Amino acid sequence: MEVKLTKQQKRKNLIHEVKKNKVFYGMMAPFLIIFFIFTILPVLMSLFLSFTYFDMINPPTFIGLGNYTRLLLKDDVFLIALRNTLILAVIVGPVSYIMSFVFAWLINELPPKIRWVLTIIFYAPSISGSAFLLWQLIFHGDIYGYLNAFLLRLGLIDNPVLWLKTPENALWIIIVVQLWLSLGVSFLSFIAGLQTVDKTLYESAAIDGIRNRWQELWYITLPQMKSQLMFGALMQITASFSIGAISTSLLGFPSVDYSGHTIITHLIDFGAGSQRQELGYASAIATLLFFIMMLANIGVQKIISRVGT
Amino acid sequence: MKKLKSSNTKGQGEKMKKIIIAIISISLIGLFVLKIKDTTKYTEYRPSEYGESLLSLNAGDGTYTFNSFLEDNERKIKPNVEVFADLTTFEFVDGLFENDNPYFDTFTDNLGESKEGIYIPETGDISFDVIVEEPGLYNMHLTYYTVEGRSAAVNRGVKVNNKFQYIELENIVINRTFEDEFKVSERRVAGKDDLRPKQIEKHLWGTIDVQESMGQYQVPFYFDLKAGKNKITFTSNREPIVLNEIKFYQAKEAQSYEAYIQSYESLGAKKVTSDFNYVLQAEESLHKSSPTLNPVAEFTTSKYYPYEKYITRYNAIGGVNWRVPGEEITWEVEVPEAGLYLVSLKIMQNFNRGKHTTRSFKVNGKTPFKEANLLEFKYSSDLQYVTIGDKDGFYVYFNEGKNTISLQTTIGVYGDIVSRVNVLIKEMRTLYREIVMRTGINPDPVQDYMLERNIENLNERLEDMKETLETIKDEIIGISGSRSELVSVYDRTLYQLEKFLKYEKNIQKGLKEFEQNISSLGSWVIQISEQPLIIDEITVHGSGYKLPKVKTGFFAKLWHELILFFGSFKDVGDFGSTELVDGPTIEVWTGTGRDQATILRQLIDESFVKQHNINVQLKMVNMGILLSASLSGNGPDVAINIDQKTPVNWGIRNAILDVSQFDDFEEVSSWFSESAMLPLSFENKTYGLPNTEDFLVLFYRQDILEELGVKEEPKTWEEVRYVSNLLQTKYLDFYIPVVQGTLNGTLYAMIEQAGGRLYLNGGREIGILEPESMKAFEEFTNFFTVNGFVLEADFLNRFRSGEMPIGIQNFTLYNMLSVFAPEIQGQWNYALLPGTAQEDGSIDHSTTSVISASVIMNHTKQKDESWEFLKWWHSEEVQLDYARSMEAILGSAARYPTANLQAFAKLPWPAKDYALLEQQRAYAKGIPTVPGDYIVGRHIDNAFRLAINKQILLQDSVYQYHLVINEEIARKRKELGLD
Repeated sequence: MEVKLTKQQKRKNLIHEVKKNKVFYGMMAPFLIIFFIFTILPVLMSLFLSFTYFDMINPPTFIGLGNYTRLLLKDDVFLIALRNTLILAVIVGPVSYIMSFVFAWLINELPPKIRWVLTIIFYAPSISGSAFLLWQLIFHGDIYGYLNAFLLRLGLIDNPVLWLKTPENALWIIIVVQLWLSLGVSFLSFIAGLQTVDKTLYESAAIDGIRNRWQELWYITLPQMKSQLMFGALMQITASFSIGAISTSLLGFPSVDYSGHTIITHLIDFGAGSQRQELGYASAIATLLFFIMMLANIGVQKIISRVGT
Repeated sequence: MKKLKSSNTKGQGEKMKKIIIAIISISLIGLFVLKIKDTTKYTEYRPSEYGESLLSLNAGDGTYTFNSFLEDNERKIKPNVEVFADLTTFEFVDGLFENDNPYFDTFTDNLGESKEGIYIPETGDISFDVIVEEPGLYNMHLTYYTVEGRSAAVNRGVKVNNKFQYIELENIVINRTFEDEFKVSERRVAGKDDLRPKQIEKHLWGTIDVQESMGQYQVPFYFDLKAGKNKITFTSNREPIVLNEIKFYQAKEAQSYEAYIQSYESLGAKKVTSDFNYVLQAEESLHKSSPTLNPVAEFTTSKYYPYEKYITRYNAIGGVNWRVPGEEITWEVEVPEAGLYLVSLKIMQNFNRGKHTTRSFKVNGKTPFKEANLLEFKYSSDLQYVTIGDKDGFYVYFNEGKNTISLQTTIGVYGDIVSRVNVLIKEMRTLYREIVMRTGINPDPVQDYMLERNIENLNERLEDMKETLETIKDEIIGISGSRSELVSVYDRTLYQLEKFLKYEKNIQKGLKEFEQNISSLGSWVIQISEQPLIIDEITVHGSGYKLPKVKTGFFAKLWHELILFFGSFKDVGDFGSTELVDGPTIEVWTGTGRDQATILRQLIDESFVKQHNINVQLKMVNMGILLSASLSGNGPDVAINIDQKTPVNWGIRNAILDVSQFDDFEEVSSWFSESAMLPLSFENKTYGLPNTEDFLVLFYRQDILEELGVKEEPKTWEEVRYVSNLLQTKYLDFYIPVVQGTLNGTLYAMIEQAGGRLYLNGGREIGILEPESMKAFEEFTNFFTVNGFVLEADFLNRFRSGEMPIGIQNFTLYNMLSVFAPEIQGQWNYALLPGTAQEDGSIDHSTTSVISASVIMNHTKQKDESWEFLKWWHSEEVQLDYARSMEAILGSAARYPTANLQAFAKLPWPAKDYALLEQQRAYAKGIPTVPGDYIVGRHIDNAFRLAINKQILLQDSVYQYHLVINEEIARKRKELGLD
């Protein structure tokens, strides 16, 4: 009885609290409603669909864990995709993260006008949408492809190389292009973070016995911009796990022998608009990717929380 | 030696002398011999002779051009007598179609005029005799009737005594006549978009002095006839025609303006000085030479008349569609009394900065005075009034009542230059090719290729090109009055040639740029020969009339732009109907562009809605959302222009209606070829009808292959290998398209030719391991592994430049080439896809066809109405109307490869091309659509690439992948509950 009472009371309290703060809830409502309809609901729906067979034409039929067992036990291509995605995430994630920070740090030292110009230059590739298509010209397998023409001229190769159509090259091409693109939002947030660091802290730290720039960086700068670091890390992890568009537009869809296949391209292969029309299966892939990303994010948060200690 | 011997008999002192002389003479002889040896290797360089003709590009050796012909025959007399050819006896050879032969009949034209004439079919050469008493130069006058054909201009060559007397005679063009179905203003409804009138062909009797159609020469052609019997042959290029009379006589030359005025004034005609004016809206023309000369809607300024904001008003005529020399528009004007009037045109020429657009002018079908042959319209970003004539204007005589005036596109002052540049381009391309044959496309910058020694007269040729370029450049500056952007490509090319001449290795370094410069010269030629002009109004008036102002001020312009900007927010995806009936409504989605949807809308309103009592809602939609829309219940009843795999794939999931259930399906499916129906059918059900059908053919450059000694295009893959080897010794390539991740069309064709099958067991298994299929696959792979074919290349550009003079492509490339590569016009051709020899000795030319389709969605509530619509849309008349309207608006690059066989036959193809396409279509094979086939192309490509990349035995890689394919197909079939 007592427990029940407290429960009721709690509910009452909650309603009371909500009523008291209705202005704030009202202000949050537009975002919450949109967020729920366009983000939470689809995620829940996809979770539901992942237990069904659904071809978008006939109503979904429940098949239990069928999609997951097939995905994890029978699908060779998914293993390739998983392997590729992990390789890309492990290389591209940290490297691009560090690159973003190093460039931001270097640029931060420059006078404002030059900093402004350089920021635009570094940020340009990632705002210009599909500018990476220029890499298609560079890696074109024709004798007129830039890289081929260059190497032929130097006499390093005798015949044009089909860069994008040879399985061995697939991954490193994606890595190069993704790194080129990676000075994106996290780079900007680092620049912003670096500028918010309180200058007086450096002064007092110098008095307290900081000996060099590295110590200054580790004990003052980084802890001061932890929130930006966290934001950058999340963005970068998400980006490197969801590489797909680059693979599709550079290596073709699907890439030769699935050499550039990632979880995202595997998902596209089964999803809406594909000829396989297995939306349930695609949802299972998406759910799995969701959990992989969650895990990665938790890991990254753990690492970043150790900065400055 | 002989000389030395003879010297023995002479005295001692003399002997010495003789010896010396002998030595000198021997060495001289030696030098001479060496010299001879040198010259035998290289024939002496002679710059190619420029014949001052637009067509000298195609000239063979020793062929006259009209100009050189006139020069050489200057002294020949021009007898002033009339001679007629005898049309009753003729000789007819080389017809391509058996049931299409010449015959005599009486032909009545659309105006009711009846004459007797001889019908000349579109293919085959016909000859007549003409007996001449006085030999000499004559003009030829034809009385003709444009009998029904494929609606393209008639084109004939004229031979006299089995010879083209000059190359222009290879192409004589006789225009057809078209008119608007209705005047735009007649059906104009306030507040609604104007309707575009359909272009109707008028078959009319007409006369013509045989002449050059581009407007380069001011006089009609002369023919040199000998005394006695002469044989006149009309060789066929395009379209049939009926001839009533062939007359040889002396055509009257146009007089000068002064003489013209004097002759009329002496007859009592007066210059009109009142403020009389007759204003004609130019979009309402009487007739025109081509269906592309539609009324157009212009928005660039608000001074066009009529003009209404946010609404499509067809208010002018011409524009980019009126740019090709030879195209003519005729209008009818009315004056109350006979007299001499001024003619003013309200025009827009904002196309060519620094360049005039030119037209020739006729009144009542005749050139009034010499000056009317070349009217120039200068550039202005705004509308302008131009009065024909010089400052005071030229007066033109009009009869009382109705008169016609015509304007024809001519090439103008640049005609001469264009033809010279064309010759130059041809020479530069030849030189480029010769260099590439030595060095390859990507030469080493340091290696010594000894170009000077290996390429005949290299420096002289470069020098000559440089000189020609310089003269042409000076002439252009002379004409345009300043160093405009017109000459920048000349500057660039000249600079490069100078560099080439300075140091030989610059050639290999700048080879790529050289090619680009040649292409830019090609584009320059296109740009300069095009003469676009928009005409808004034509005013016939007296000298007292003051023309209204048409310039717009800054604020008026700003306001206009603002209105346009807000107008752009209007919904454009929905094509509302102007016709509404009580019947049911169906919704149709199309995945094509705006122009196509507009045409379709109009066709629906004209010939579907009322006749079938069905309303149609037409929407232009990105077809990617068709599935999601149908899922949510917002889908259409009918979708047109979707890809060939969708119908079956959705059909077996019951999303698309099986159309074979309709009673008249058998009849409807006979409109198309079997190959086009195949991809739409699965297990005795058919899920749609084909819209377009395209298939692979072999394109080749005649000029280059001839140069290499290849007399005939390769007929079999065996011969392809032979030709390719020959090409590769010269660094040229054969092209077979390879697209990643899809079933290769060429491979599929080869499998079909070899008698193999792609699928076994009704699509339950892949048949690639069958011995025949495997043999074909191996042969295909060998092209790339053994014969070194290129896997990736931009075929269109390399075909233009000649680096890939032969290759396989869909026949629709034909449209692209004929429009975008005019500089190689007449030098390329296409042929049947290479085939595989069969046991009985015949060759199987099977080719792969690709279609797009129309379907009825299964959830529709109007099955029968939808089927009515589908039948209507795929019928011969509608497909033909649609195809012709597309060509009328977008030009011949938009020729629509309709799948309806009857409609296809009536499109304006040259007969020879049509015959070839039909021959190839008989061999066309569709790719069957089966569940799980997405995996097939993907893994066959993987097997192919594995064999190429890793040098793995093809059988092994195919075996490995065929297991994966079969597994996936079985899984998919199980999933769909098919087994």
